[in-house]
Amino acid sequence: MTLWGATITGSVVDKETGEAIAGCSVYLEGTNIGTSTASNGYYRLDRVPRGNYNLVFSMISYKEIKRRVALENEASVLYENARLERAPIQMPAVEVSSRRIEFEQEVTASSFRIDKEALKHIPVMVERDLFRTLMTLPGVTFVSDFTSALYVRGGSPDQNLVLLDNMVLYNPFHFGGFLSTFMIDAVESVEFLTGGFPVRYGNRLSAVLDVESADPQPLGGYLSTSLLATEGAVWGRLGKFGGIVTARRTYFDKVIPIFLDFDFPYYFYDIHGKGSWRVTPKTRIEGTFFNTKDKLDLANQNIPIGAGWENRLITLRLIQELGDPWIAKVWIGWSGYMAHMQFSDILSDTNRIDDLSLRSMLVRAGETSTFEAGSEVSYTRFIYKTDAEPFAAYNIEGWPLYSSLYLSWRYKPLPVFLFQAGGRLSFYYGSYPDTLRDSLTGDVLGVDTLIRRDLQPELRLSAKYFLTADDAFNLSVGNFYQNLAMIMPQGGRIPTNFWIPAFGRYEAQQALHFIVGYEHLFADGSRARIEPYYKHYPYLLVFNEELDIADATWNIFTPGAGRAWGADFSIEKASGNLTGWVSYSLAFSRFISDTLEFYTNFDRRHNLNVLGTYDLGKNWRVNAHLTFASGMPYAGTLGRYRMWYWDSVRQEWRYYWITIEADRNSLRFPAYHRLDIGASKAWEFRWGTLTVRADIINLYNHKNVMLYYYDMSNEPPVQRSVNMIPFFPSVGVEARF
Amino acid sequence: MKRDLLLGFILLLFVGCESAEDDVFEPEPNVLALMRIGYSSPPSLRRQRIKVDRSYDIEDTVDRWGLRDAYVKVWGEEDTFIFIDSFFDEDSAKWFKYNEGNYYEWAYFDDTTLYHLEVALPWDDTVTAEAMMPTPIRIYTPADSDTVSISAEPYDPHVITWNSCKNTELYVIYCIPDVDDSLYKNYPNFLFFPSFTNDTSYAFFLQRMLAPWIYDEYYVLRVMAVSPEYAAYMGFFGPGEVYSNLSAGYGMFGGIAEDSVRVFIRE
Repeated sequence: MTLWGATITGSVVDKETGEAIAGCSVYLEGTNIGTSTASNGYYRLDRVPRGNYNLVFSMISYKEIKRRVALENEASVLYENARLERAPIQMPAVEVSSRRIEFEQEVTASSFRIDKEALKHIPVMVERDLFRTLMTLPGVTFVSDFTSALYVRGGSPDQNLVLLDNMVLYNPFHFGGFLSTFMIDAVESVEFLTGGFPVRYGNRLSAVLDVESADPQPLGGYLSTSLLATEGAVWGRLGKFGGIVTARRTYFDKVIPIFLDFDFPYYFYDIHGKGSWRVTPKTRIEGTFFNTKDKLDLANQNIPIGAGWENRLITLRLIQELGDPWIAKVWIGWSGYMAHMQFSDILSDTNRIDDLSLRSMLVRAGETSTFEAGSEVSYTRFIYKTDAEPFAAYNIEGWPLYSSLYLSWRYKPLPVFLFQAGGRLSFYYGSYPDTLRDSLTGDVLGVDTLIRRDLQPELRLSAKYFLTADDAFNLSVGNFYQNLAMIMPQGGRIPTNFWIPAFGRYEAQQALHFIVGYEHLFADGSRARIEPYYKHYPYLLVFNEELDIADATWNIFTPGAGRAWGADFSIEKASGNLTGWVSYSLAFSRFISDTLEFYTNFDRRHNLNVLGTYDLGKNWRVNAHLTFASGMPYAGTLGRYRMWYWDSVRQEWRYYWITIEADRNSLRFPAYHRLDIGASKAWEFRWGTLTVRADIINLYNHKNVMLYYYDMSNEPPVQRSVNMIPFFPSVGVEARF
Repeated sequence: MKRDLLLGFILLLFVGCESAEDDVFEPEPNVLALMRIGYSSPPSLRRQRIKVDRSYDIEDTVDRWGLRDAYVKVWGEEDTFIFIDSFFDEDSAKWFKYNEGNYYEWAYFDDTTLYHLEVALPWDDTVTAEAMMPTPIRIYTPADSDTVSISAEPYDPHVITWNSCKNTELYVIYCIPDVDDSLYKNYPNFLFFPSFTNDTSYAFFLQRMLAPWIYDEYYVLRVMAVSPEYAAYMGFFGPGEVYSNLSAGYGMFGGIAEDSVRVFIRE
């Protein structure tokens, strides 16, 4: 290594479309010198010693390019541009190189990137699902089979920032969270940060899921069907324009009534589209449309329950190259969310969010030093209404403003050391008329304007030190604010999907992350990681389980503090016929207030996932996924007593049983474990590929407990359980053309 | 160095680990000391009952009705009443036990005295409480055996009226068909639901809003003055945690005053 040397720079574009390729590995064969291209396709290799090299451009799904370059002296600058051609088959060497570069360049701890191939080949539960895959990563746990909500390192699902093309998605789940709203083929890349995330991301406490929509490809498509839904997509390019539309819908509500005299009460659909226009070689405009809807209506079953929610997202993004090495991006977007729940005429809950956001980013990317500055302004309409007859109607409505500026600097002063430091300054303003009305008379019982004005400074630092070429030690610290919270009853184990903004009596939630880690890169590109962490929550809101809706001073949340700590281990096998990973998380999560202290209902002590896919050849693949997780806490029944009373009608003494509940989350369910297996076979035809897959969920039919209840009609009362998914086979067919 | 780092991490984990023990059941006393204050037999001397029981593990078979061998005492400024769980049968000249957990005593309570309850349990534990009793209640109108016509309602509602009672949180009104319990099933359920008021009167018309009357029958109109403790215990104010004013465990020490009239209701 030398502090002086030549420079090789240039850009990498798609040969067919001319679009810049981000994340392409560019390295000198046989050396440790390499980098990956920035969003504008630009790369730069500095401090290259004099000599002759093979310069390699490699990228997943593209043919590798290898060029002989000669550097005559250490002051020379060599310009090398590359135009990569699409390739259907991935080259193992590409994988290895890109993983090495990722290992060397990535400074943020707790970062995961999952490619489409990995998503496609893990066992599926009826449908392939992004969130189900994320659940298998270290640091992530779940509360039941019926929700794919992510609980990351002791944080609740509402503490995760879910971005689709840089716009916030408020509820990326379908009913009960069984599936997420993302269709795998509509997604280009996924970055999942389980802690210590950089200042580019704000307004959440725990984790970031940054999803980029799929880029339009030359004309193609697919159609697949499973037991649950039918999904299809078409994409294409024409000159400077490209587009992709992916859609999915369940069909039980349409099909079952044809054969049975039964109106199936539920459906959902997803539509996800993206269009791009390359205005000039340096200017690109992209637009995203995303709409998901769930509807449950039990009225036809004479059950007066209805629920539904809908996400709508529209973004427009301008990407402008300003000249080497500057790039600017501007987004404007609207993310709408509506949720409604109705229990007869007794309870009606409505939540509506309209989030108008303008974001910008300016990046100067270099080999050793990268600056990034950005801004964000979100003007959000929040409505939360509850009408609980005959007690009261509760209504909060307001337009909180959240604005931020951030600056980040990534620097590699030494070949063995790099760091990223950043600061973010946010201003939050929320003003809400807090109105309480009598739902019978409509009389206003009380109005109070609740105002919050908060300045929220955040500092984040990540650093990485290479012990050897294959071993690194990293560290991340930072503070985080979050100006909203979700109503999540602990017993229900499923988020209600109703959001409440920080207002009046509720301050912004806060967290501090301390993460240290050690990682090792194997020769084949596989990685092993150990990451102990500690998260401190100086201010945290949890749902008030003693909520009395008849109380005019209705407090939805109990404020307090919290702490979460533990360690994540993972080892991945990235190449060969057998690929997969093993992840293990040890986790503790406590909530502490003046009157309460308890383990959260997602305090899962041990969480082990073993996933493997084996390529048998001839387009046959088999896979398996084993999960072992220790029992979750719950508040169960400990005892009972007779509640004696005087029956004034019959003039006699009577009683009924009252159960005695344990302290909040002071009991544990039995351990959860499950083995899923699957197999797929693909046939290639002139028109495309046909793939048939079969999966078995919970192969040995283990009864994983979701909740307990006591049947009080027996003496003594009998404990019964509601179990999660039993043995469940499924098949699916996909035609790709 | 790698090995040291790994060892350091593992040590960190063990330092950070803490055990989480499951919550376990522990029995608690359960005492209902509801004093019933009557108006009908002055000077309202009445045989009072206090029920002494306990809580049970949810998985236990409960084959008993309460606790024997407790020492139960209620006292005010002047009087002290010892409640006992046995009685002497003069015919057979023997002592017998009441049902398990039932402790009785003839006792008179007035509405100006703060009464104290003390229950010494069979194990080394004592439960205490304090309460004041409601004033005896008396229905003024209608009179017993009246015939009430309610066809003119709501323009000319017939009203039940009674005296104002001290130490009373609310009044509960019942309108009960004067038939054997076994025949209650022939009447709409709503008819047996209580009505509540803080006033000293109640209109029949309001009762009729809940359920239509079945006319030309005898009904018992009963009014109960409820002490604040019993009102909270019964959850008359809406859902919430089960109330107790005992020093430990579950249950309540308080009182109710009742009076009733039997009337014939015609359309």
